[in-house]
Order: sequence, then structure tokens, then C-alpha cells
Amino acid sequence: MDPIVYVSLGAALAAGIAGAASSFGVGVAGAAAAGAVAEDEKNFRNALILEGLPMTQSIYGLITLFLILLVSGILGGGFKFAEATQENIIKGAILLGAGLTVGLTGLSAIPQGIISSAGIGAVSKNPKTFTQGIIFAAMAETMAIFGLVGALIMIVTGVGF
Amino acid sequence: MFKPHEMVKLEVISLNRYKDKLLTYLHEEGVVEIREVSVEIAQKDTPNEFYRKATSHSIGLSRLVDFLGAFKEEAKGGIKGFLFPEPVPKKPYRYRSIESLVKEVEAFLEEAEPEIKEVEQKLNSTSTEIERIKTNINVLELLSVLELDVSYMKSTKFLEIVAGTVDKDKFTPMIDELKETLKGRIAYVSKEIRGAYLVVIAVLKTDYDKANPVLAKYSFGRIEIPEGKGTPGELIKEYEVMLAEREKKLDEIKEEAKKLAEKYHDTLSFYQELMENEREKANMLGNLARTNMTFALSGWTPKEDVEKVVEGVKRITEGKVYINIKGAEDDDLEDIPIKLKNPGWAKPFEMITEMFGVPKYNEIDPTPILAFTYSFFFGFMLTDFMYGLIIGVVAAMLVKGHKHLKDGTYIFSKILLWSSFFTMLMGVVFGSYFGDALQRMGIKVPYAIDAMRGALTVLIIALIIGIIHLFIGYTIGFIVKWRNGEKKAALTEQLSWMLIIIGIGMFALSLKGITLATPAKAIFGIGFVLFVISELSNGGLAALLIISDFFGFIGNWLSYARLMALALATSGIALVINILVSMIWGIKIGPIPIGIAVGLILFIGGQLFSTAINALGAFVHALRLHYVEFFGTFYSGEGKKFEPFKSKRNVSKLEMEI
Repeated sequence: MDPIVYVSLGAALAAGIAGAASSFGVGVAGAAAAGAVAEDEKNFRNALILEGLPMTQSIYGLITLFLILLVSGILGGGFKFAEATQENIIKGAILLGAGLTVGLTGLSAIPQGIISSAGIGAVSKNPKTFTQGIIFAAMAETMAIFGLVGALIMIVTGVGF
Repeated sequence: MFKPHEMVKLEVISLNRYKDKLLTYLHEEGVVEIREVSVEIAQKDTPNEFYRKATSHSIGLSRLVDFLGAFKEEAKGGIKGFLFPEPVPKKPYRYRSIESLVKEVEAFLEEAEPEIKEVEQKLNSTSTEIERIKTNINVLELLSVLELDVSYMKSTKFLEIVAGTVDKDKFTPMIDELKETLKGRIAYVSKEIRGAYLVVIAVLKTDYDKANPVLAKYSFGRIEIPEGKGTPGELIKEYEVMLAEREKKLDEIKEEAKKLAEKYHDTLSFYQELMENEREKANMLGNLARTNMTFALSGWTPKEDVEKVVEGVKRITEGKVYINIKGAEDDDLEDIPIKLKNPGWAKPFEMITEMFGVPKYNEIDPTPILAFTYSFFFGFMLTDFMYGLIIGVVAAMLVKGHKHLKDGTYIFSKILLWSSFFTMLMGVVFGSYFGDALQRMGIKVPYAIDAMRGALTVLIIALIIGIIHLFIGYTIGFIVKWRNGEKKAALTEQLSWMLIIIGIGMFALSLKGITLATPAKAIFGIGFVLFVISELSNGGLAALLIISDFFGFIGNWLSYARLMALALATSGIALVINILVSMIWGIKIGPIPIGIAVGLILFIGGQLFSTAINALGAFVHALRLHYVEFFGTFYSGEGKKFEPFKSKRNVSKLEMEI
């Protein structure tokens, strides 16, 4: 395959999978938030913050997409790995791997949304559980963060600016 | 700092006639946590008639306050109200005894309650009437398709007339069955509307019992026919006139309620607060012991307040009192309430410690360390001078606006203020001002590390910070356990990890040629042996636990990589916004530089969004690093928080006659 295929697949999968997962997560949490607000409008602020938590995975995906576009030269200048040499294919494949890492670990947005929605339910019954709810939801994000760390190392050391 | 307030146990015996005043005094001071007196020779105290009345008035008053509160003119809301809330004036009340207070409240209620109840009742009945009229209008609109005089749809002496709807597919079978059951003695009119049939059926009164089960079988939905004569169209007009009249009346009643709210709401909530506090006092009586003449109470109080409390108690009881003050003993360890003690700069961070749980009396309070590391981690993860500035300015405004309230927002803003300082500092180190906005504009800014290009360096820094943080945790744990005599546990559970960390650190340095590798390996080895010994007590599972706990430690350590990931996420999002802005910056439609206008909006909106989302991330993950990784090394948080017997005064202020 040409390097461009690897590179654009990497960028697309990073932002695509993570973004889709985030929207699932936000969707689950948003449904719970709507219920909580119906119970008492004061829950709005707390519910909104909890609902926003599963959104971060899509941001990690977006950052990865931009980094991939940046290091491969698609953004600013021209595509650097146009020729299908051994080295360019390796670099393209590394970028695909990085994108896939972020995309797949971004799936953690779905369980995070489920935790958030339970947290929203808990907060509407007892507002004091707000911080605890956030911490529980933040647990699920750890995997996405590890994915981002891994991908960043792959991009920076494997390809470089 | 590091240790909670020293607590002493207070025991008081005095005469019953001073009880009410003494309780009120302690309630207003709010520095004693009252505990149950163990009752063996005396009996438990119980609320008297006035305390019981206070309890019921408290509930009744809060209902009235709720009703009138809905009609009260709203205070200024919006951003200004949030940033700079107006202080609520506190009305003074001269306290003589609960008896006179209850009597005063009753006198007031006698005047106000009937007035408020009357308006409430009028409001309710008018609202119900309006609802009924609206339902009638809806029914009439439905019936209007039949163009039948409404009076014909009313039952007469011999005829039973029912109107209602039935599903489309059930209509024909229902009519057929009715005809069969009633042998044709039935008349009906029908009309199809929206997938259902509207039917008016007339049957003989004598046949009604037979028809009823059939109607029920086909789930015939009955409609109550409104009173009146004429076609539905004519009647609707009549009802609409009625509706307008009632609605006008409702508005008048609401005006009346507003006037009442103006007149009574503040006084009501004033008395409600007084009664609520009396109720709390009544509940506390169960913890007291009493005889015919005397009562006894006991509780914990911080040592620094003891002098003031003793002096106050003596004054109120005119010296007719026995007071015993005991220092905390080892037996009480589980029982002593914890009040954290920290200098002003670390005080706001007590909120974070308390959210997890306070330490036990003989443990170390981690708040001063946390105050520094929490704000530093927050800054490291946000890493942008301008973002720090924005958060700092907002937090400073909130601190100023909420100063007189000392509420949760005030404490939280102070935490943010410290965190924003580190954010700005780290922003300068990384040379990040709205990401790389300045660099893009061609301005050179000095920086120590480039977050993007030096990602690996940032990761290494993050991991070094992490291992130091864990090392501090294990060291505190070691000191606490050693001092409390749990020397074996201190050696195996804490020292082991301290040695392992030192070993890892020295080994890392030896790679750079600074120290020798052999002693590093030796120290790591000793630590590891201690760790293995600590796990051996688990018997058969030891081998498994050694593996899982060791990798648990590694996992905790690597978890600090999030410092780097979130720092990069911040500069990443800022970078994305800056790239987008620079792409549209140059767009022109004719001579109009539309790109600049759109670009500016995108830049401001985007950067504000980025500030918010990244600050949320930094807040959450800094918290997590402390609760999960840091506290996991040494902290139990199993202490009991000091909960003083304290009055709640938002709109009232008590002055005591002594």
C-alpha cells in the first residue's frame, strides 16, 4: 500500500473511532441528565459537567489526527512520504498504529458515559456525591490517556517533526 | 500543620433551670461536639412541651415560606449575582427563653397564617376551576365535529346517553355486539377522527347494566359532557368568556399573594430559622442525662476554644456548675472528632482532604503537602500562561465577591487561584501563550521545553514527579506507623517501597554515570525482600499477590504519565484552534477582510472552550492522582470529622440576655 493510505487511515481511525465512542458516551449520559433536570432544574450544572466527561476521548482523537497531519506534512507544506520507499512505508505504518491506539482506547468513552449517567442519577438524589461521581468516571479515562501517551511516543520518536 | 487540632473532653453538670440557656449558648458558639452521656444512674433527657411545639412550628413555617417564596420578587440573578452576591442582612433576636420565643411565634402565626392560608386556598380553587374549564373546552372541541346540541347528550329520565371514543378497528364489533345484547334498542351517532371513532350512544336506562360490560370490553373511553345548552361551537364561546374571567381573577389573587409575600416572607423565614434551630436543640436533648434537679452533658471541643467555653458556661450558670476537662487518651482514639488545623494558605485545600475523609487523631494530615502538589499538578496539566491568567482573574473575582459568605464557592475559588499561579508558571516554562499563538504571529518567546517536540522529556519529567510524589507518601506512612508503634508494618509495607524507589532512582542515575549501579541494585534488592516478606503473611496466595501488588505499584507510577498527556492535550487543542484560525485569517470577500472577523470569534470562543475543558480535565485528574495513587500509599481517611453543635444563621442573629 502507498504510505498515504496508512497515514490517512491512521488519522481517520483516531478521530473517527474515538469520536463515535464519545458520542455514544455523551448520549448515554445525556439521557440521564435530561431526567435529572426534569426532577430538579438545579441539577443542570452538575449534570452538564458529568455529561461532558466522555467528550475528552474525541478530543484526544482530534489531537492525534492533527498531529498525524502535521508530522506527515499534509497540514502545512506538502505530503512528505509520497514516494513508496521502505522508510516512508514504515513511517506511514507507525502513524496508522498511533491513530489506531488512540481510536481503540477511545472506546473507553462508552463505559465512561455509563458511569457518568449513574453519577448523574446519584447527584440528583444527593448533590454531595458530585465529586465522587467525577472520580469514578475519571477512572475509565485512564485507558484513553495511556493510549494517547503511547501514540504520542510513537509519533514523536517513530516519525518526528 | 500536619496535625489536627488538639481536642479535649468537656463534662458539664449544672441545674436544670440553666439548661435551655446553656444549650443556646453552646449552639451559638458552635465549638463543641456534644456526645451522648452514658446513662446508668440518671435518665435520658427528653424534649418538653415547648421544644415539641418548636418542632411542629418549624415544619408549618417552612411550608408557608415555600408558598410565599414563589411570589417573592427575585433577587438579581445572572453573572453579576454569581460573582458578587449581595450579603443578606441578619435580623437580631433577643433570646430570653424558648417559652417566650414559641409564644411570640404563635402570636405572629395567629395573625399571618389565616391570611396566607386564605389566599392559598383561593389560588388553589381558582386554578382547579381553570383546569376544569380548559378540559371542558377540549371536550367541546372534540364534540364539535358532531354538530349536535350539547343538551341532547345529557341523560334524561328514561335514556342513558354516553359519549366517548373507541379504537377504529373496535368500533364496528362494539356496535354489533351492543345491538345484539340490547336487541336493537340502541341509537348512536359517530364520526371518525384521527384513527378513532367518536361515538354518542343512547340506550334505555333499564338496558344500561347490560350495555356497560360491552363498552368496557372494547375499552370505550368515556367523555364527561360539559354543562350548558347549544351547539359545542356556541358553548365554547361561553366557556372562553368564563376562562378569561377566571384567569383575570387568578392574576388578581397572585397580586394579592405578592403583596403578602412582601409583607410576611422575610419575617416568616426569620421565625422559621429560629424554630429550625430550636428543633435542632430539641434533638440534642436526647444526648443529655438528667435528674429532677440537674442535667449533665459531655462533648469534645478544640483545646484553643476551651477557655472561652468554660468562661461562658460559668457566666450563664452563675457559677452553679461542675466542669471537668480531660485531655484525649489512647482509649479515645477511635472516638475523637478531627478538626483540621492548617495555616491560611493551606486552609482551602482542607476541602479536598475532607472530601476523601479526615485522618485519625494519631495520623498525619496531608493537607499542606496536597496544597502544593495539587495546585502544581493542576498547573502542569493545564500548562498555558493565558489559560492560567483567565482562570486566575475569574477566581480572584469570585474570592472577592464571596468573601463575606465564606461559602463553598469561596474556598473552591481560592484553590483555583493557587492552581492558576502554577498554570501561569508552567505556561512560561513551556513557552505556551494560547498554545503557539504568539509563535504563529512571528513573536519569539523564550521557553525551556517544547511540549510537542520534547514530548519524551515531558514524559520523563512527569514520571520523575510521580515517583517523588509516591516516595513522599510512603515516607509519611512510614513515619506515622513507626511513631504509632506499628514498626513491623512500617518496615514491610512502607520502607520496602521507599527502598525500591530509591533503588530505581539510583539505578536511573547510574545510567547517566552519576552513581554506581551496584549499590542501587543492593538497595532495590533489600526493598524487594522486605516487600516479599510482607506478602508472605498472606500464605498460599503470596506468590500471586507479589506479582499483582508489584505491578500495581508500577501501574500507579505510570499513571502519572497523565501529567504529560494532559499537558500535551492542552497545547494540542490550542494548536488545532490556532491552525484553523490562521487558515481562515487571510480570507477576503472583495476588499472586506471577513477572515479576520470570523477568525477572531473562532479564536476567542475556541480558546475559552479549550480553557474550560482542559481546566475540568486538570481538576479531575489532579484530584484522582491524589485520591487513588498518593493516598493509596499511606492514607486511610477513616477519622471522624468534627461536627460541632452549631446553629445555622442566614437571616437571623441571636442576642442573649445573660
